Amino acid sequence: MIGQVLAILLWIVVTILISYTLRHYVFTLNRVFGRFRQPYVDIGIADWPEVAVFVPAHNEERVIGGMLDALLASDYPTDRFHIIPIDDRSQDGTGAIIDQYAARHPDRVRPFHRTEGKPGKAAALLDATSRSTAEIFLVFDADYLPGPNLLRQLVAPFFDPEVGAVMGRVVPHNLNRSLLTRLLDLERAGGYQVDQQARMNLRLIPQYGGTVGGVRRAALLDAGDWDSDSLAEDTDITFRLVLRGWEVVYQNRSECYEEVPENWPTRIRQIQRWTRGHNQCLRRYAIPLIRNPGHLRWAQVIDGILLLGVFAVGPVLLLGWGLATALYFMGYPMLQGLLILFAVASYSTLGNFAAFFEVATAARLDGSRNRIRLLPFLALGFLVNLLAVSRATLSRGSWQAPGTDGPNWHKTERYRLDAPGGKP
Amino acid sequence: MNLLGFAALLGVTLAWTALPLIPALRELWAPSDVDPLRMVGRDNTDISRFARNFREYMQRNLERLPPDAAVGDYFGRLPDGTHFVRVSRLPGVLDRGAVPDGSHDRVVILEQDVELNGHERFRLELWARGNLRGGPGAEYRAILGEGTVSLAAESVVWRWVHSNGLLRVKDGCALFGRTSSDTSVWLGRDVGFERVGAPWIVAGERAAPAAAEIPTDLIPFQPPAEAAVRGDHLRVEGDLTLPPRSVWHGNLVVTGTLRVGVGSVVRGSVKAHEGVELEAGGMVTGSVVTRGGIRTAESVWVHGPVIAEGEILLGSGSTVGSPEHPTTVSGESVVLALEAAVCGHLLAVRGGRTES
Repeated sequence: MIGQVLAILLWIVVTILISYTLRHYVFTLNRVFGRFRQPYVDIGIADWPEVAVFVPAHNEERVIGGMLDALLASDYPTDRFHIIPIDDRSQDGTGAIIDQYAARHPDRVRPFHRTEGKPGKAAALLDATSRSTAEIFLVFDADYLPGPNLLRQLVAPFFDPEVGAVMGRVVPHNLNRSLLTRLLDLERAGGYQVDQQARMNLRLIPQYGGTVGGVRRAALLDAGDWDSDSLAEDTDITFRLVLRGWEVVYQNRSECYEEVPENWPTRIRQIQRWTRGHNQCLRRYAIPLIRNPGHLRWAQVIDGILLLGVFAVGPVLLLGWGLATALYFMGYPMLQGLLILFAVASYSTLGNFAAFFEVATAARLDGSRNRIRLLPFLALGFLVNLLAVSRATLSRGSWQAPGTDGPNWHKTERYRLDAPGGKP
Repeated sequence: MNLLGFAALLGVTLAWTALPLIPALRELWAPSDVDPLRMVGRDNTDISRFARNFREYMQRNLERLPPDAAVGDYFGRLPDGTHFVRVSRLPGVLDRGAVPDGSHDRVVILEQDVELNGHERFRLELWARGNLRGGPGAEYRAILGEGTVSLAAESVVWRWVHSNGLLRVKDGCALFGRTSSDTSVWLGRDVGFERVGAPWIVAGERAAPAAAEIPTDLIPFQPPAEAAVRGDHLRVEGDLTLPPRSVWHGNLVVTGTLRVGVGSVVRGSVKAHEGVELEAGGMVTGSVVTRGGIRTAESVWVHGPVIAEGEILLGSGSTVGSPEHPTTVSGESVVLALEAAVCGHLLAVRGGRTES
């Protein structure tokens, strides 16, 4: 009896893992052979809408100056955009640096110093966006370095009245610092160049990632505004927009440099934070997605469920290993002979390497030369991710209702030494 | 003995395991590809960029030449080794220098107004510092014209052409790559193009009109009852037709095909998943977007960007944008009927053409 229950569980695990394997292959093959869909990237000249650029910042004195310099160098019409740096109760020099920029550019930099209310990015955005009447809201984390044409590129899709959110591509710039940064560079390439772009190509659900992107004000309000209790306001707003019938667009050419974690403890904290936020969204939106409000295609529903569940796969995989081991020692006969041999051989050949295939394809599409040689080390990264994600998934915070975890600023350590306009 | 065998087996196994890691270990210890991806600034929307870069390149190099290079006809090499000819006296100099079959393997600088015979093949760039009137059947790699540039019938430009003044393209020409002018581009019949940018791009020789006026005697459109308001737009499942001479205020999203009737106006932006058809005299004050194709009849006016993942057919006398408010037309393919015009950028991913 116990054996049968464990076997059924194992088959469920196997089905889930095969689904993700197939997903990797579908996305990768789409990027290799499919049509590259980027309908808005050519809009270079138009009557540009008014844009507010939000930069949430909490103790970001190392990087905030560089970010503001980069935004001020944008080629977006200067009378059509303003920057709202959000200093959320920083204890370092962030507020002073922002004020210096505001004094130098009073027409374009409008600082917002938060001293009360819930801390955290979502709460800060909720307060800040209510102070702007711009048609489009763009959001950048403070450690990013947007190029001069990025704002135009990110705003262009909003000429489509159905587009509620836009996401650009994040590219690490500090990859020469450690093995971890190089592995993260490969992971990011796979995630954006293949995963996100394939979703865009296939008209599935590209994800708004909370930075290097933006939302339409009307869509944000229609979907219920930022949820200040959410640990992953980006995933949260993505699914609320999609469920309301808005489109989320990914633009692979809208690239922006970011600083990735340079040491493993920082990376583990980062991915555990993402896990808890993502799992919150899985809990909130899986059922509404399955119920399908009517305008979603089933391919979108399936993709949405798989996207929501991506951080829950780690413990599922661990569970599968445990179940398989237990069943083996219990002597439980699942399937005999050649069939099981074939299944194991097939999965070892294809399944285990699906993610590697995706990353390798991304590196090739990017025209990278030798970084792909590091691919075998990704197994190390995946192992660390697996354990970190599993631990976070099994923690209480992953499955609590939003808000019960206690709002807070969850920050990633900054490393930049050359802080233009800021303190080194 | 057994221990030795075990150790040997272990060693061989470890070596076998490490074999596929050799490239990875080498890259880890001696990094050869650790620069961030180069991407910031990569932008195809600046259509005249190649022409500007070429002008800067030439000016930079010509400044470094000896003084006699600026007098009369001059055959020489730029400091980077590129062969060029600077032509100050015409005619005939382009045939000099034993260039086979009338082809020209040098960068050509024309210092004065020039009218070419036709059927030349310029394998490197041509810089016309005066007006240039090409002959029929000529092939150009790229042209930078500081005055008016006229391309005669059946000419081909392989990479880019830019004119500071009017760019007139006669029937049957093929314009690969980028085509741009600081003032106007006039396209003849059956002209192929890819990326065109100018304040006024027209199939034919129509002058830019005054801004279109929106009629005031239109009937307000009553949307179907099942239509849903989503933020700033109205969402309609299935097809939708705006009757003739009606007006809708606001953005529209239609999951089927959208038809805007004769003389009707949408004061906002529209998107239709399957396609958009704008009947004669129709107007849209915002953008027009579709996953399918866009077809306009005669004398349609669209103020904002026109974006289609299928074919765009701009009907006779239709205009997108205005000289004061240039915009973008981008489609998988684009067909311009006679006197159809675009103010700004006209981009066809798989190529566009004017009607024959």
